Amino acid sequence: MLRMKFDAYTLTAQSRKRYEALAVALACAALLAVSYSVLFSCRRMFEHDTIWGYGLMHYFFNSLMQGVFPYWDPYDYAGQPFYYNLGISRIFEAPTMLLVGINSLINGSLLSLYHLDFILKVICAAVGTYLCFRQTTTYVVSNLVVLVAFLFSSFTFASMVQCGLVTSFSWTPWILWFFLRLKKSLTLYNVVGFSLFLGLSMTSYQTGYVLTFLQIFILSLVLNHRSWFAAIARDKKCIPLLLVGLLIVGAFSLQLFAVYIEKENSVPVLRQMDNADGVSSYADKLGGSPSYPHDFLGLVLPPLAIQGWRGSNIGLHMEKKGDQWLPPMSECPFYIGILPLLLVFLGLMRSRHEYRLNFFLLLVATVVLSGGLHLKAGPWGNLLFPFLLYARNMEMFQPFIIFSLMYFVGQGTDALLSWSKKYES
Amino acid sequence: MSHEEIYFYSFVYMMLLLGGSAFGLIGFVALLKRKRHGLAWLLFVGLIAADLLAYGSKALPYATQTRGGLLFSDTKKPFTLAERRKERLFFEDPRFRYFRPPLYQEFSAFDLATLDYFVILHGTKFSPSNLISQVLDGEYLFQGEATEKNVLEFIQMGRSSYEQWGRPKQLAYLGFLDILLQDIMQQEAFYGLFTGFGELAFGLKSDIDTGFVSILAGAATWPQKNDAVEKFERLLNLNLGMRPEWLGEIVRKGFRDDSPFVERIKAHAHEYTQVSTAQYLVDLWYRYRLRDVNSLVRFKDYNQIADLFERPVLSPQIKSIRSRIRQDLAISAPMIRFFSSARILPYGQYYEQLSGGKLANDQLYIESRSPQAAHAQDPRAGNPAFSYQVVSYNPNRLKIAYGARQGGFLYFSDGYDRYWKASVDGLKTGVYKANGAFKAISIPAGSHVVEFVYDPVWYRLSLWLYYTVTIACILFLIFRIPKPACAPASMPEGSSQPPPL
Repeated sequence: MLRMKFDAYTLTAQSRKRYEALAVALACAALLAVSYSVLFSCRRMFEHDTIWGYGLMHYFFNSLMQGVFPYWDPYDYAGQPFYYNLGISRIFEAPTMLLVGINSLINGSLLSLYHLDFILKVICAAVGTYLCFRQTTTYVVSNLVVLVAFLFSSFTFASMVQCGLVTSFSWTPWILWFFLRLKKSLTLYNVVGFSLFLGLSMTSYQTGYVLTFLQIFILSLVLNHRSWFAAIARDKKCIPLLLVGLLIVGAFSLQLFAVYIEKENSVPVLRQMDNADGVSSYADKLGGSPSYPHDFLGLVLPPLAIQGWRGSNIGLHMEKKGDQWLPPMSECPFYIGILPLLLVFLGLMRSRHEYRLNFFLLLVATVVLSGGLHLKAGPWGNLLFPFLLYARNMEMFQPFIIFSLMYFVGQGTDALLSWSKKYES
Repeated sequence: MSHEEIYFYSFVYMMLLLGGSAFGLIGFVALLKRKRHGLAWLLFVGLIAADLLAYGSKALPYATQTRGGLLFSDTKKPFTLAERRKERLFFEDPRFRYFRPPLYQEFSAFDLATLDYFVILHGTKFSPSNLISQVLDGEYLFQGEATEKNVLEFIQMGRSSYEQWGRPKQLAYLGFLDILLQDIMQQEAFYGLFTGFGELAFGLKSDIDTGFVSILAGAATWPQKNDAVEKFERLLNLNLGMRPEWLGEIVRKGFRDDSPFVERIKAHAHEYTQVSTAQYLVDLWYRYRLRDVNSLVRFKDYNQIADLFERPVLSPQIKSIRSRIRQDLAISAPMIRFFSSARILPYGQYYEQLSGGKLANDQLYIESRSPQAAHAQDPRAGNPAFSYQVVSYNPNRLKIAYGARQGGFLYFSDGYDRYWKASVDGLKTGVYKANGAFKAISIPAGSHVVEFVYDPVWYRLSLWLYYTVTIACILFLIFRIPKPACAPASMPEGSSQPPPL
C-alpha cells in the first residue's frame, strides 16, 4: 500500500476497487477488534437501554428454536402481544434472523450474538454512509476518512448504551444513497432501492426521525434544485415509478399499522404515537430526552463525550474500576475526531459541491431539533415537523447530525487533497 | 472525578491531541513536499484512526459494563445454549410459568449482570421469583428467620453467623442481598433524594460480587461482609446525605407529613424495618407484578387507578386494592382455574368497581359488551370437581384436556387480547376478558379438550408481506445491478474532474 502511487487514491481509483474494499474491510475489522471484550472475550456487555432489549432476543430466539414464531409474550405486562416489541428491538429483521440461524448451528453464546448483531448494524450504517458519500466526494481517500471517522465516532459507542440511536438510524444512509442516485437518474432500480430502505425504516416506531431527516433534505432541494422537481414532474416514468415506490413502502408500513390499530387496547410500544392521550412526550413539553450543550462540547473536549454529564444519568450505572468510579456515558455524546472536525470547517468554507447548502441546512436543522427546540414553537413545531409527533427522544438525532458532519468531512478532505495535488508536479 | 477534574483532564487531553495533530500535519506537509503523497496520506488517515481508536478504547468501558465480573463458568468455558436454555427457560412446566418469570425489561439488565451466578452455581438458582417461590413453598433455607426478622435484622444476622452457615445458606444469604439491592436500586426516591447513593449501591454490588467469588473459590469467609452489612444499615436506615435541593425543599415545606418526599422516605423505612423478610419478599414480587398491571391499566386510560397504584404502600386504600389485584393475578393460584359461575360486568367497568371496593376476592368477573353472551350460573353451586392436564404449550398456543362435573368457566390468568381464540373440542367459543386483564371461556361439563390460540392476523400477514417484499427487492437489486457506464455522474461545481461512482 505504501508503494502505491498517489493516483491510486484519486481519479483512477476505479481500477483499485480491491484496495478500496480491503480498506473498508480493515476499518470494519478494526471496530470488531476494539469491541473484543464485548464480542469475543465476553467480559463486558452493553448496558442501559441496549441491554434491556436482550430479554426480547432471548425469548425470541428460544421460541424460534422451538419452531414457533412468538406473537405472544406471557411474561411482560402479565401477558401481552410480543409483536408490540418488535418495532423497538427490530430483532425480526432479515440480518438478525440470519445470525440467529447461524448461531443455532454453532451453538454460540446468545448474549454475544446479541452484541454482534448490534455492532453489525453499526457497520451496516457505516458502509451505507460510505456508499452514500462516494457520490459526493471526488476522491476515494476522502471517503475512507469519512468511513473511519463515522465508524469510530461517538455514535458507535453511544449505541451500546442507547439502542435507539442505531435502530432509528441504521438504514438512513442507504436511503440517502439511493435518493442521490435517484436524483441523478430516475430508474426502477433506484426507486426500488430507495423504497426498500425507506420501507425498512418504516417498520420501526422510531421512523419519525428518519422521515423528518428526509423531509428537511428534500425541502432544502427546493432552494437550489428546483429544476429537478420540474424535470421529475415532466418525466413520463414518474407516475408508474412513484406507484411502485408507494406500493413497496406501503407494504412495509402495514406492520406499523397492524400495531397502530391496537393502540386503544394495550399499546406500550406505540404509546408515543397517540399524542392525544397525554402519555406521549408532547404532554410534558420536554420532548423526552434532548441533546444537551455538554454533548456538543464533546466535539472539542473528547473526555466529555466519554463521561456524559447528564444529571439524569449520574449514579445510574456507575461501576467501580479499580479505585475509580465510572459515571455513565451520555446517551448522545458527540465526537468525530479532532482532524475530522477541522476538515468539517474546511469543508464548510471551501466546498463547492452541489449539496453543500442542503447538508448545511440539514446540519443546522438536526442540531436545533435534537435540543427539542421545535417544541417551543408551539403548534408551528407540529406543522413544520409533523413526523416528530410520533417521536419522543430528540437526542435520537445524534447519528443524523454526525452523518451530516460526515458530508463536510468528505468535502474538507477533498479540498485538502486538491490543495496537496499542487505538490505533485 | 469532579467536574473540575474532568475539565482539567479534558484540557490536557485536548492539548496533547492538538499538539499531536499539529506535529502530524507538519509531517504531512513535509512528506507532500518530498512528493511522498501515499505516505503523507497514510499518515493523515493514520492520525485520524489513532485519535478515534484512542477515543473508542476509552469510551468502551463507559458504554458497557462487566458481566458480573465473572466469565460464564469457573472452568472459563461458556456454557452451551442448551444448558442455558434449561436454566433460563421454564416452558417445561407450564403450570408454573408465572412462578418463575424471567422479568424482562428493567430487570433484565440486573438479572443479566448477575446471570453468571445463576448459571455457575448448579442447583442453586437465584432470581427474585425463585427465592419467592421457595418462601411460598416453605422451602426457603431461612424460613424461620425470614418470618421472624425484618429485613434489616435479617441482614444484620449475617454479621455474626455468616461463617457458621454452610455453603447453601451463605449462597442464599448473598442471593437475598443481591435481590434486595436490585430492588433498592429500582426505587427512584433513593436516587432522587440522596447524594452518593449510586456510589454506595454500586460499592455494595461489588461487595456482594466478591462474596459470590469467595464462595466459588471455596472460602468460608467473606472479607467484605461487615462492610456490606454496614452499607445496608446505612441504606435501610436512610442514613444518607440528602441532596441539597431536596433538603431545601423539605425545609421550605416545614417537614410537612404529607410532603411526597417525606412520604416516600417513610414508606421505604417502614418496608425495610417493620415488615418481616418473608413478607417483604412476597411484596417484592407483587410490586413488580403490580407494576406490569399498572402499566396495562394506564394504557387503558384508567389514570385514576394507576395513580393510586403509585402511592406509597402506607395508604390503607392501596393495600386493599393491591390485595385484590394479587387475587386477580392469580399469583398464589394455578394459572388455570375453574369457576362454576361468573358475574358479568359492563365492558370497561371492572377497574371502576374495583376501586370502589365492590368486588369480591373469590369471584370471577367477566366484562362483556353483550351480557347475554356469557351464561352465568348459580353462584351457590359450589366448586365441583375439576381436573385438567396440559396437552401442549407454546407461546402462541395452549391445549389442555379437562374433566368437570358441571359446566362453568375456565379462567386462564394470562393477558387478554382480542386475537386470542378458543375452541372446545374443535368448536369455536368466545373468549371473555376476565378479572380486568385476563381471559376466560365458557365450558361444558364432561371431558373435553380446550385450545387457546393466539393469532394476530393483521400482524402475521404484514410480517409475511415484509419478508416477501424484502426478499423480492433484494433479489431485484442484486440481479439488476446497472453497469457503471449507465450511471451518469454529476460534476462537482468548480471541478473539471468527474467524481467516482
